[in-house]
Parts: sequence; C-alpha cells; structure tokens
Amino acid sequence: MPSSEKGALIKYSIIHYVGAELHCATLVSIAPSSGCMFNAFHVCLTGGSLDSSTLSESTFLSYRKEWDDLFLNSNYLTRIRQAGINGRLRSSRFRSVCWKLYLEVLPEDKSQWINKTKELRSQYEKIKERHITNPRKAAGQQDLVVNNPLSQDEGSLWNKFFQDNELRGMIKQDVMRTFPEMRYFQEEDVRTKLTDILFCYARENEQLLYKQGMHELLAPIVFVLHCDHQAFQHASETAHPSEELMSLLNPMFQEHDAYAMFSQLMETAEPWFSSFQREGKEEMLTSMPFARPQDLGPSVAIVTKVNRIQDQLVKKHDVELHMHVNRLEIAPQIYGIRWVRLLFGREFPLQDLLVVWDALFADSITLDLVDYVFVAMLLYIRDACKDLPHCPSISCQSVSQSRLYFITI
Amino acid sequence: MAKQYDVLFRLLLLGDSGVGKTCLLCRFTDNEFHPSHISTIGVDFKMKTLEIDGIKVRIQIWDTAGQERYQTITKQYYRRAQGIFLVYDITSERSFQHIMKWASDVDEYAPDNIQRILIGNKSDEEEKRQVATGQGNKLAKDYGMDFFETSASTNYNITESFTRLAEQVLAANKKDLDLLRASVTDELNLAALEEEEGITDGAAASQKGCWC
Repeated sequence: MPSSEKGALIKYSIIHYVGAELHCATLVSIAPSSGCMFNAFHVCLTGGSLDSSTLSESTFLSYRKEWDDLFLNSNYLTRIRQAGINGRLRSSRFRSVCWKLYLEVLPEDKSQWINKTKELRSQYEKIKERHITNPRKAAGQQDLVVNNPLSQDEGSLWNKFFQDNELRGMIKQDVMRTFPEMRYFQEEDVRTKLTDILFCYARENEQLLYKQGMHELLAPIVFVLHCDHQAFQHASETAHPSEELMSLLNPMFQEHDAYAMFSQLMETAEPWFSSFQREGKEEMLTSMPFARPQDLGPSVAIVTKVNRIQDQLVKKHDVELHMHVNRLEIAPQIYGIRWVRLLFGREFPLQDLLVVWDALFADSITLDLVDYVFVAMLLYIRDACKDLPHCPSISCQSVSQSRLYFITI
Repeated sequence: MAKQYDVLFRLLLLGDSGVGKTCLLCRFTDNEFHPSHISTIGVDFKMKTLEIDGIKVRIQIWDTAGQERYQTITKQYYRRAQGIFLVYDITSERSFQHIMKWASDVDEYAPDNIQRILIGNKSDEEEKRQVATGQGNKLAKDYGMDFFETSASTNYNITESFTRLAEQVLAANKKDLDLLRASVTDELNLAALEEEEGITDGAAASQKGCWC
C-alpha cells in the first residue's frame, strides 16, 4: 500500500473513531454546543499537518458509510433491529432514523421515505394551526356576542383560549422541570417546542389530555433528533448530502418529526397513563381474607400491568424473591409506575437510557420488552432486597430509591 | 430483632402539581433544596425519625404526584395513613381553591381519626403572593386544622409543621401509645404487632392505629 494511501486510511479511521466518540459525547453533553465540539476538534487537527479538505471529505465519507451500512442492505430492517437490541447504536449518527423505523413512523420501503416524511410534517403543521389559536387574530370569524373575553359560550374562541392557557400552564410546569441538569432543556426554544408538541398531542387526544410523565417520554426523542441534526449539519458542511438525507434530517422539522415519533410511542404507552378505572374488581375482592393492598381498589391499566409483572413474571423467574416481596407487602405500583411510564427514564443516566430505548423500540413497537427489563431490574437488586430485615418500610425504600444501572448494556 | 424506633406511622403529602410537596419533603428529611426539581411520577416516599416526648417516632412520608389523586395508589394505602398534609402554593390561587377537593377526597378514603394539617408553601415569594395568610387561616379554621405557611427554599416552618402533625398523630393514638409505653422493653411485642398487621385486613389495622 502506498504510504499516502495508508496515511489517508489511518486518518480516516481516526476521524471515524473520534467522530463516533464525539457524537457519543454529544449525547451526554450538557452543553448544546456539540457542533462546537466537532469544530474544536476540526480546528485542532487542521492546525497540524493534516489537509483540511481531505479531512472534511473523509468526515462526510464516514458519515455516508455509516448510513450505507445501516440502510443499504436489502435486509436492512432486521439488521438495524439487531443493532438496536445489541446496543450497537450507542454512537450512531442515525439513531433517530432507526427509531422512526422501529416506531413505524417510516415504512420499510425506502422509496416512500421522503413522501411519508413530507406527509407527516404537513399533518403536524395542520394540527398545530388548528389548536394553537390566537383569539384576537380570529376575531373577525365569530359573532362578537359569542366571541368576547367574558363569554361563557362553549364555542367561544376566547373561552377556548382560557382553557388552553390552563392546559399549557400544566404542561409548562413539567417542561420546566425536564432534565434540569442538562443545559439543552433549559433553552427557551426547546422548552417551547416540548410544550407545543405536548399541547397538540393533548388536544388531539382529549380523553387522555396531558399526563405527568409524558414530558419525559418526549424529551429524549427531541434530544436524539437534535444530536442527529448536529451530526448531519457537520457532515454536510463540505459535501453535498443526498436528497434523502436532506429531507430526513432537516433540522427545520425537529418539532414535526418529534411529534410523529411521540404520537407513535404513545399508541403503545397510552394505557399506562390513562386513569380510566375498570369497576367491579373491588367488590369481588373485599371478601377475600388474604387480599393484599394491591388487590384492592379500582383497577387502572398501569396497576394491572405492574401487578401482573410481579405476580406472574417475577414469580416464574424467582419464586423466592416473589414470596419475599409479597411477604413484605411491597406493592409493585410503589416503584413500578415510574419505571413503566417513563420507560426507565429515571433509573439510568441519559446516554445509557437511549441504549435501553434502542432495544425496547427495536424489539417491538408493542414494547413487550418493558416487562422483562422490569423483572431484570428486580433480579439485579434481589440480594440487596433479601438481606434486609423484615420491615416493609425499609425494603420498600431500597427498591424505590435504588438507582439501577445496567452495566452490561 | 432490635428496633431503631418505638413507633412507625405514615403521613401523606397531597396537593396540586408544582406546589412543592417534594421540596418540603427533601428539606425535612435531608435538609436539601433544589430549585429545579423534577416532577414526581406515581408515588415516592422518605423516612425520618423524630423524638417526641422521649419516644422515637419513625415517620414514613408518602409523596404523591399532583396529578395522581386516588387512582394508582390503592385506597388501602390511604387507609393506613395517620396524618395528611394538604399543601397549596401561596402564589397560586388555583392550588388554594383545590384544597377543598383534596380535603373531600381525604374524607372519603382516609380513616376517621386521620389528622390533617394545612400548608401554604413558598412563603418566601411574597411579591407573587395570590393567597393572603388570612385566607389560609380561615380555611384551616373551617376544617378544624392547624395551619402553617412554609418555605422549603428558606427552610421556614418546615420542622415545625412536620413535628406538629407528628405530635397530633401521637396524641390521637394515645391509647395505643400508653400500651406501647407499658411494654416498651418488650421487643417481641413490637414484632408481634408487626406480624399481626401483615395478616389482618386494612380496616382492623387502621382501628388499631397501625403501629408496627
């Protein structure tokens, strides 16, 4: 191999490696300046003996190569599912595209990607236009008797405006408390995006509206899109990206794309937030002499789910642990509601959480894997649980407050 | 089994989302305050041991999400509570109006001898105040509750209000307390009570005052 070629190859692999590392760093980066980090690295290398144009080209090449490796194969969907399940997307620059495929925001047929993307974006545009109204702007459209700030009329745009403000206030309160340790989520325009998406979702789903916790399902999606957009912008600084890439990773549509992904995720997660109560169970059980606290009371889907996990899956995999938690009367909703609703969002640092989500989404849009991760987390702390004295309060606390990390992932 | 405390009881924090329930709790148990707190999802709880009249009182304080109400935490948990903090935010008129709703839920689900206390939090934000101290006082009086304005941020009235509720619970369960005093050296008795609680149903347990 001629030495110049070898040099280029080494350069390429360094960039490839460091590029991946840097991208990984952007995932944990508290600063929204991931672009700056790339640039700093760029400057530092080009200041040396490396030729800047070759460097930029190879950056794009590595970017393009990663795309091809992921999506060019005829059997690509199965392969990216495997990549997600095996934790190989940790430093991917196309995680958002993989998630769109897992969540069926994009169809398997690549020739439809651009059209589907356009369609979903224009749908969101319409949804937003419909729900985010300014009563002053629309003043001419309604009779002043119906449409004035003091009107109690159901159809009054002003009445709607005040109701909207209440809903927005409720959402905003949680958006302000989203990942407070990350600077990205402190930015005003990011907060506005999160609020608008959750508001539109609530208005489109009046039965469910907004429920606490949804904000932490949306935030990682918005962040993953942001990271991929940063990588895209950097890679396309010198080379001209394909139409497909330009369409899919256009930063202008971060909010639109996040809405589409979040809505799809909520298709599965919705019952876990619903407070719809199924009646009848209580009467049947109050007469049971050995009914446990979790057997009584109204049955809400999330409670049924976590009880089923503890009573069936945990029992099947670890009878001893199951008996132990039952003896201590540790109802699974004490620790499990948060685990399930946030898809373990509070139990892992963000960069690890994204890897957990890669696997959850890749496995199936029905998120069946959630139940098994749930059990695995309990098994992970089983010895700590079992060593505790027989006092319900203490054991319960250790379960609910343990910060669990999946070291193997 | 040796115990680090003489009695244990359960208190609940209730109130609208964002009034500062978690912050009150963190200030009380860990003496910490984080202005940018994350919202509580589902339920959580913390413990602290106080010494009142020479008795080591272990209190387990349940922190609920403002949106949660009585849906996911089973009624049984509420029935086992001995004391309730009804919390509003003095800078939010709405959260104050909702206290009535929270109080009626308590009446419906909690045991009859439950002790309640009214808390108007964020008293340090005087410039944003929407609920006058007098309004809080009046509401508390109407409901026969004690009332404290608190600030988790400046650590104002935190220990006072938690201790007051703990004392009220102790006083309300004085009969059981006297029994306990008579047998305070008998560790087995405590263990026996604990065992018993595990197998009796909720109604019986709450009648006994739920010592464990």
